[in-house]
Amino acid sequence: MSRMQLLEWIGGLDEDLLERSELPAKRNRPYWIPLVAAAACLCLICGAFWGLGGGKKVAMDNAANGDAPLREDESSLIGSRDPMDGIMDSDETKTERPSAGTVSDTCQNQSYWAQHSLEQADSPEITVFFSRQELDTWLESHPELTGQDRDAVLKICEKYDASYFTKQALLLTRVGGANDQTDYAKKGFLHKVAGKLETDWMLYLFETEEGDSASADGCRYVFTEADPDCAIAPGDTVAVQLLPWEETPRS
Amino acid sequence: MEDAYIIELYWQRDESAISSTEQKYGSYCYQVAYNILSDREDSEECVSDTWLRAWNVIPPQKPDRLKLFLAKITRNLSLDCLKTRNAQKRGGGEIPLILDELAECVADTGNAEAEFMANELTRDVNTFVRSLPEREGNLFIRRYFFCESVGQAAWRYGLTEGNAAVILSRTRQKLKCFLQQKGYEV
Repeated sequence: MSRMQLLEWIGGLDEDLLERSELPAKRNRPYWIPLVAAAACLCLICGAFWGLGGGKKVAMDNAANGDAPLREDESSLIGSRDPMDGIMDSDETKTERPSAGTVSDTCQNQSYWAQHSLEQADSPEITVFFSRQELDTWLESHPELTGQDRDAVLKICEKYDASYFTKQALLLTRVGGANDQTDYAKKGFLHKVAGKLETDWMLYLFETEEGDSASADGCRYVFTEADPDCAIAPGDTVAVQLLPWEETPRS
Repeated sequence: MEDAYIIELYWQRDESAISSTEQKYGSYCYQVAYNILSDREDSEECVSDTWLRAWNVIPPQKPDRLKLFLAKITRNLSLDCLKTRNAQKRGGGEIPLILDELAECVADTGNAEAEFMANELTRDVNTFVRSLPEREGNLFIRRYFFCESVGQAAWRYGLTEGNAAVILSRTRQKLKCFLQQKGYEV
């Protein structure tokens, strides 16, 4: 008997056997079980990704975009210096002391968030800060920033409401490039002095015409009012962000 | 078109029976032939010969299952074609592998007695396949009748290729024991 003969004789198998082999096989398990198992695995992988860092990254991205609420359990940044000391002499100038402030997490790209409350104005008739009105207040520097060698942009990102953050950017304030010889610099205004940041930051808000960069003492401030209908008033809490200087081109 | 109607056309000697058969089972028979020959032209030629053979044997035959009847004709013609084509005993496609596998079951010593006992051996092979569990029997048929690859046969029954190969190996051992018990020289 040869293999070829055996192969030929197998060709004589009964047709009912051949027909049986043609029928689709009975599946041992329902077809949908592998699909459900695959979906469950996918969910696990997504959950693990979110838990291990995806969620954190998204939250940090949102914070960098000004969308994340600030943490309120941080240390207070109550200013202790007299903001009027040798700085403001204009009649239009109103000084506000910081009543409370917090510093949030450090964000990507070495940006820092602070929540800052503006105290009610001394004059009760002051309900909003008018155009060309100057406000100076103090933000104590974050310990991590003290001594860093960098210029920076201080950005008021949004007005803080007790219940939610508004999405309107009130003022985009660039503060930087200050002249070390000015009084502002001496008062610890945010600037670069001998390659180091001062220990305190002083925040100035100028509501002027867009693009107005004039300043009597040579310091340069540029303000952009993103939403003219939305102004800062005494007692408001604002969120401020310190960004690396490189992120915003100098004007 | 129903098989019964096609067979009726054969019995009426209506030549449209051939075109109807070709239309319905042409690709199926081509696949059977191609599994054995692995050659497009030879396979097409065998399929054409299948229609002629069917025309010659119907009537007097009246197959119950036209599809499998045609598959048998195609298979036999393909094996004949393979033997004719290859002076060397190896063919194309799955056949060399299948012959190697069947060598586990029989000694490769062709003799007249085996030819004489062909009908009896065919009956015994049928008995053997019927004694197998359904899945093993089906795998055996797909592999050694339809000459499908192990992967194709495994896919048909939802098995892995490795699992199917193991099942086929055990089936061959069973076949060898079965043939020995029946007194065949293996």
